[in-house]
Amino acid sequence: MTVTTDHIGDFFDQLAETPQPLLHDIYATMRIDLDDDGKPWHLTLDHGRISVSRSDTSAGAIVRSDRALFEQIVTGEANTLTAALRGRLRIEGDARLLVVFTRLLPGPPRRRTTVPSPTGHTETTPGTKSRNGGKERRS
Amino acid sequence: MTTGQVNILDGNTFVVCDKTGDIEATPQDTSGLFSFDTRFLSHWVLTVDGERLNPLSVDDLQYFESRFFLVPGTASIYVNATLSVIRRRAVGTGFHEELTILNHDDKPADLTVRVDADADFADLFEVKDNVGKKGKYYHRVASDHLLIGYERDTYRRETLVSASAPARFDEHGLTMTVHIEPHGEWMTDLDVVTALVGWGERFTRPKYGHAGGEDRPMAQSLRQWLDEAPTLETDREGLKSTYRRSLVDLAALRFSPPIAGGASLPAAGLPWFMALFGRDAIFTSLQALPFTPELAATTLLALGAWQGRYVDDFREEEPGRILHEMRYGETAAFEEQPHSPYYGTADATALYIVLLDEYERWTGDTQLVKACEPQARAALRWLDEYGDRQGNGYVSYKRANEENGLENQCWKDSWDSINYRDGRLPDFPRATCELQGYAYDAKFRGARLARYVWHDDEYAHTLARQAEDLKHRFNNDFWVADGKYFGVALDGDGSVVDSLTSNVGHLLWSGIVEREKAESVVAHLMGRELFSGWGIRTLAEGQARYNPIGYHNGAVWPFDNSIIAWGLRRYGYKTEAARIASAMLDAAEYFNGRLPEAFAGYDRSYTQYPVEYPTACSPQAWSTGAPLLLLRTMLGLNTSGQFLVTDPAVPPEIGYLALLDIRGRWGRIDAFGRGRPFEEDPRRSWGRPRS
Repeated sequence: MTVTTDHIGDFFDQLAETPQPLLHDIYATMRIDLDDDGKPWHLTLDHGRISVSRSDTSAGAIVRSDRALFEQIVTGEANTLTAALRGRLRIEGDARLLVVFTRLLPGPPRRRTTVPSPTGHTETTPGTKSRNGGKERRS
Repeated sequence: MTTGQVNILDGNTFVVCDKTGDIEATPQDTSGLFSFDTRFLSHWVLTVDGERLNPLSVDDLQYFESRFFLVPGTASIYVNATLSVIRRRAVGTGFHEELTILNHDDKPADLTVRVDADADFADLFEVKDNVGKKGKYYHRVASDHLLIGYERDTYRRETLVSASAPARFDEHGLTMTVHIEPHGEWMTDLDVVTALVGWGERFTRPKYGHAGGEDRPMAQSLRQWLDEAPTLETDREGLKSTYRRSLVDLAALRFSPPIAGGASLPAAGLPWFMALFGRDAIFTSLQALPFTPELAATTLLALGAWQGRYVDDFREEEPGRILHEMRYGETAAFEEQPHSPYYGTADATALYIVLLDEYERWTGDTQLVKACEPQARAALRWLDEYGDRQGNGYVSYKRANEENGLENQCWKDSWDSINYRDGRLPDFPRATCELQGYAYDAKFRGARLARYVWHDDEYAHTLARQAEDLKHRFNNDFWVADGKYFGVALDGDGSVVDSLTSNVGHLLWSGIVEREKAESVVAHLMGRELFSGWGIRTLAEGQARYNPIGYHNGAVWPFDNSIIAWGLRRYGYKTEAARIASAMLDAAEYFNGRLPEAFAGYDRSYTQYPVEYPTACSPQAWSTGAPLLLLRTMLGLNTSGQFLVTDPAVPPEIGYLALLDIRGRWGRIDAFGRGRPFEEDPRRSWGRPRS
């Protein structure tokens, strides 16, 4: 098996290193079961800090996904809510945690990038096409 | 809704059927059993010995429960019928139907009872727009149930039909062979259970169990809901029933999205909007705050959880932006519609802060306000960064999703709602005036939260200064000098869009209007062009696009009027606020206590009753909330530190008015008022703690 980039491993590594102020009020555990050979990913969200391990212990919510979809999710190419509505991503336990998990994901790759100008106002210039032909923004 | 239809609902699950309880949907009507924006039953027809039934009467027992009294045969012969058929139906996770047949004859009856069932799994958007399905249907017949399913790739939705009595199932329904003794009865339970396969639990029974039981969780929950709300006492009988209707409808529209963990927030309205809408949920929570503060808490948490983080043109997501609309149907699932969620609203983000502050003032729940601090700061930042699309210091909108985004991202969201006096439509971005009012109020209230709850004086100072600056600029830039009112918007060039609209009333509510300008704004609101006698029109008579049945160009919206009445109170115009309250509550009585989304803007002297807007949604959450807010404005309820202040100005025709047990940071307090002629200024009084 040729390994190119391990997006999923990178995602969880980076997650454990980054404080999450938006989750400052939350304590929860969740597990991500992928259909690959590895053990599930187990997350403990503890008031803005996240610890990650490989373990099949129980959790407040269990998310099940195929590896290909989950790669797209951690790179921002797939949306968790629509994947769940289509039945490709399954959630057991507290469904609210799926929304919390979504907070941790990167945004869609073909996005506008916006940098406020020195006046504090956003400047808009044309850039590459987004999926609906809207204008990209950058400074 | 078409008359003759019966609606029963529970959150985002609802049934629309005819007077016999049957469902026979055509592709473009809203008959059926809907849940999560999907039609799980499009056909449900009962026959006895091959004959359809005739309705004698329908009882709407509860918002989630109806009972249909039926007899077999055609109208000409049913008077001699020896059978009665009773269907009692309760909505939950699907529905539960108790079917009873009574034999009134001296002879036994042997009958074939048949229920035809089918599901088209139409997305509500397909029902609206008549779009064909892309997946495959399947039917699985077992000895004790019929499973109807729909599959498109990994997307699956299923409906399971079962019965308690012995039945033969086939692909199109079930047949029961029934023997009833003379003067005897026969009964079966029919269960219809819906499933989003892969999402949560599958095939649990409807949550009521048996529709006839007294200890049903739904009935208990409604009782508790009504008990917790303040008690209304008044001389005006009609107001009592309007109040009760509002509380019950609000209970019906409670919706517990999978993300709220069992807590409820208001869905927008039946039938098209049984979903989470940012703006509607916030306004309804504001209106209902003195009555059911829990709705506000859930709304703040759910909208905060989904706050935008990235720039995504398809969903019009931006960091800090509060969502517009969340849907669960097939078109959302396959990203054919952007509602997962869709963020195309320019007002919900500021209104989120307004609700957060008003909630804290009312309940003293600083814990929630502290928990929401990151979201609140991100929302306030959005107003200055992404919300200000022209770099001119005003919040404006221009859709990023050109395919299926909304053109007008304010509450008047129809395509031609924002127009010049001469009827032309302005360019984008459009900075509508009420958006500036909401932004001002958000900054002003944000400053208070920063100072007293987040303990960040520097941030408080910055927000307060920005608010003052915005108010000053706004009063110059939006003022239409030749009319002495605020224009509805600034256009793409920053020039005033000069039509006279109800939006100026929202400006009073937000407090952005300078004192010396208030007098002429109020004169316009209460003048002939805007005030119809039934309420304030969305667009003034005399403007080129004025049309009494124009959705946002002349119709009267109860929600709009309730906010305007609140605004009039804020500037001390008690008499005017009471006139609006009185007119709205009169109108409510014509609609059996249930104000529709909108009614026509005809002058009251011209129509003796308010004419319902043709396709208005009913019940609709923020219309349901309007009488509640009007009670607040009549009693002049407001918070002052730890106290509830009352300053009643009750219309004379209402007489005595009291709300008992108003919950808040003060515990429970009663408020009283008495209608009196308006020349006499009602004495200011303090709320009295209960003994």
